[in-house]
Amino acid sequence: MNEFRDEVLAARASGDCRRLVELIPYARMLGIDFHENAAGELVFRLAYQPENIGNPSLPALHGGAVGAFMEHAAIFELLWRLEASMLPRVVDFSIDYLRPGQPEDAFARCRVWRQGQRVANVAVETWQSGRETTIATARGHFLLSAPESATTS
Amino acid sequence: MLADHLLPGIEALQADTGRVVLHLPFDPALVGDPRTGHVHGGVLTALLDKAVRLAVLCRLPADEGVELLDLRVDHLRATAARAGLQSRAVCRRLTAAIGFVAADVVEADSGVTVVTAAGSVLRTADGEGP
Repeated sequence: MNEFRDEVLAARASGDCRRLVELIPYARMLGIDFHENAAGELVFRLAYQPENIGNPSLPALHGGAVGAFMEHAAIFELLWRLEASMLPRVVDFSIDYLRPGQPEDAFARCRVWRQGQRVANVAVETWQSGRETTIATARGHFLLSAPESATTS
Repeated sequence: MLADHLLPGIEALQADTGRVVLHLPFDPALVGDPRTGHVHGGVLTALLDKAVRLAVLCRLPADEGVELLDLRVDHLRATAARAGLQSRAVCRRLTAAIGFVAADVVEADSGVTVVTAAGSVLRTADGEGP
């Protein structure tokens, strides 16, 4: 169908997550990678970089970086797991910030609560240094296929 | 507070008593879908995060700060945003503890709305928030 889809399938076949990240310019800029752990979960990582600090006086990880990271994680989860015919398109995304992010790597995992023909509902959880300290949670809806007759206004 | 490598070239066009307008120029690094050139949703999240916090911050005394509690974003349409994006945020209500903010992002040239958003912000006593 298209080159992008072929690239996604090739990346999945090779098991090399970085090939997927390389396809998305903003993911490269944020410094995201992910791997599949022993339990078969995808674990996403926002690599610490000084530029992601929003408040040097605390210092705290930038809320925008955390939010963008979680949205990427949800999209990569869907791309990696599903036979999506297109890049999932975000419909809505809602973030709860539970505590300030520390100047260190952040991690995320996703749960696909529902995957329909056209829409997926995904929850994301982000933590740092120890799985028990969740710093943010999020949930969103993503379109998985284009409507057959697109009527827009 | 404005400089941010996740939002290259961002600038404030307006930031006064509870109303903020930020401008983000187009940059190839912002793309989330290389086939269409559409900007990644995370860019809009990062842009709104900043606008929402600023909208409350600029209504507070200088020794107060803010912490974003939650942000809800509705993506009305995808955008390639070749002329850049503008985020507008208004603090609808400020209490002793909380600021409620409504925000959106529009295409800078056409004015077409790309996303709408709502955020709740906690006031803190310790200067500029995260």
